[in-house]
Amino acid sequence: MYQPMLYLHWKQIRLVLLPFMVAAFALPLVTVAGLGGAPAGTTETALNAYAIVEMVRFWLPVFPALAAAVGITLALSAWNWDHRLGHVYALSLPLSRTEYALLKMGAGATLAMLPGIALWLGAHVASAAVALPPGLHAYPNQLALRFALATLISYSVLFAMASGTVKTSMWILAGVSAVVVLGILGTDWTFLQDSALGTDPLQTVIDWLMQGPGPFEIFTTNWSLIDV
Amino acid sequence: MSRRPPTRGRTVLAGAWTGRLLLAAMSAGGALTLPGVSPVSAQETEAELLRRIDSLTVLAGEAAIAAQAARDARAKAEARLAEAEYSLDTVRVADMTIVTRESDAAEARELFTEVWNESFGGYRSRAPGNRTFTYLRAAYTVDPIPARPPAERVVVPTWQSRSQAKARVRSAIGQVLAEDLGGSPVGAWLRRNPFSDRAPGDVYRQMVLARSSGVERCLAGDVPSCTAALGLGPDGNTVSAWYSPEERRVRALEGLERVGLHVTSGPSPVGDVFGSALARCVDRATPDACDALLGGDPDSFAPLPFSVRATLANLALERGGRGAWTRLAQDPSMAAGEALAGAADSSLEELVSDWRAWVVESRPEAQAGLGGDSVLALVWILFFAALATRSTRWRFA
Repeated sequence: MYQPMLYLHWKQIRLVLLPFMVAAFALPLVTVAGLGGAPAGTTETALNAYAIVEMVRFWLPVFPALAAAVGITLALSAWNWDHRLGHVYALSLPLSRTEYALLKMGAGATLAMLPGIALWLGAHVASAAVALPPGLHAYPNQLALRFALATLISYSVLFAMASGTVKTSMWILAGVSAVVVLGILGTDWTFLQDSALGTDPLQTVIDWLMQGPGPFEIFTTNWSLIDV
Repeated sequence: MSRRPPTRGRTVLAGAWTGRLLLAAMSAGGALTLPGVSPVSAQETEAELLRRIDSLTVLAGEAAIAAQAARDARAKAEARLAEAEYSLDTVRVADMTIVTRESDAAEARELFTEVWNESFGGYRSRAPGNRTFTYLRAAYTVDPIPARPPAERVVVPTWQSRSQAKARVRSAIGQVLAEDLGGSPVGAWLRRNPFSDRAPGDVYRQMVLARSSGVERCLAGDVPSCTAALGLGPDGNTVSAWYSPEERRVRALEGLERVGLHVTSGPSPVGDVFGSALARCVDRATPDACDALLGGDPDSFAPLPFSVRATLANLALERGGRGAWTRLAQDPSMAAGEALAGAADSSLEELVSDWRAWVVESRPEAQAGLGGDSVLALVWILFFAALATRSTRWRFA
């Protein structure tokens, strides 16, 4: 059952996934483009180290953004046909809902690995293309692992939301909106100031989500391909 | 038979014109009655205009005084309110005045006493006696304790340990005492609080990216290069000790680009002494061709910022133990290197060598925590997978 579901998802998403794979492979190469040697007219490794790290930092935000885009696209496309056809196909299968959802999620997670593998290959090519000065190291494996995990996180979050009903999605959106509004209003609530929420409840909630042990902590870690 | 216009229309028309005349008269009268304002005629003298400006200036001054009085009154009212709300207490430790809440008073006294005895014991300065500190242990970082500036505020989050609280207190006292170094060679070299926080990994990163061959040699193990990079070299702060000729050239041209002068090659756009120096620099005529363009304070071109120098001073004070601060600040004429060596109670070379070893050992793990991040991510993935399988979609009523 897993293979047909994988094939169906691939058939649906391949025209969108292929450009993502190309982008994932090319991004590390773009990051180190023009950094193969010392800056023009110089032979100083110290100047080269600075130039390399500055260029890597410039492209840093694109990596987690690409991972999130891949995950979101795969998740929303996973349930696309089910939503359009009223889940008749799912209900006609001799599977429990748990098995069906897990198989579907597994199929999408397998496809999510393809851009990750492309990025891993691109990162190794990029690392080999740059002569790193003393003090700098390349981390292609770590970068690819972060990318894969970030993709899976964003995929699983949106997959869980898309698997629910419209009513569930509305409840989730309403809950998020309520948190935002209460967080903004809560800056004036003095009874919160001595609590864990502090003087800025909204920022506290965002910190919980984006830093450990929140689900999106992987997005705020070090995504540098080349670092000290 | 003539037709006379309707009486009502003529009355309306007359009324409309009357209204316009009345309105114009009222506007003119209103303008005339505005206090202090009168039409400026062509015959108005310059003296009259200056008199009016002077009167407005007096009014502006009175308004500023009134606004300041209102701010002072508001500050006093807030202070009374805070005192009533927070039950403030005042603690005195070695000429320092600490304003804190009653609940924090005992802790504040202990911390300030310990820090003073450990790090500043025996030092006599008038500065702390003239300054007020506030101390607050709370979950939030906004300090509501009122204190007239220049009070030094110490806010310690509740989740921080005692050693972290002591570090904050030490930094606050150091910030005050750093003023005593002003005007001395060590003060000119340091230019900041030696107890300010600086993650050691940041120092290593800064040194790798310093764009300085001198710093590169320092990292490779050449201690005299470290001494020079920190601005403590025996020849003073010379740019040639920090940078190679090519690095000096890059910095000189970058500086010119920042002011809008783009030069790559060819005739100099400026035809004077500066222009010839610029041309020699661009064409790499001699190894020191660009030094003339790096004018000004040599410290402005230092490869390592003053915050890195503060880590060396911090290490010297830590190694020197009790009395270190006194030895650092006692002689305002002592050279910076000598003062640091005296504070650390060792030679400068030994101190810098230890500092370099500390920096190299503190090399940050760029990918630290990836294992934990991975496990956390997998846990969340499984959590959301469980949520997906528990969808209400297939639950029949």
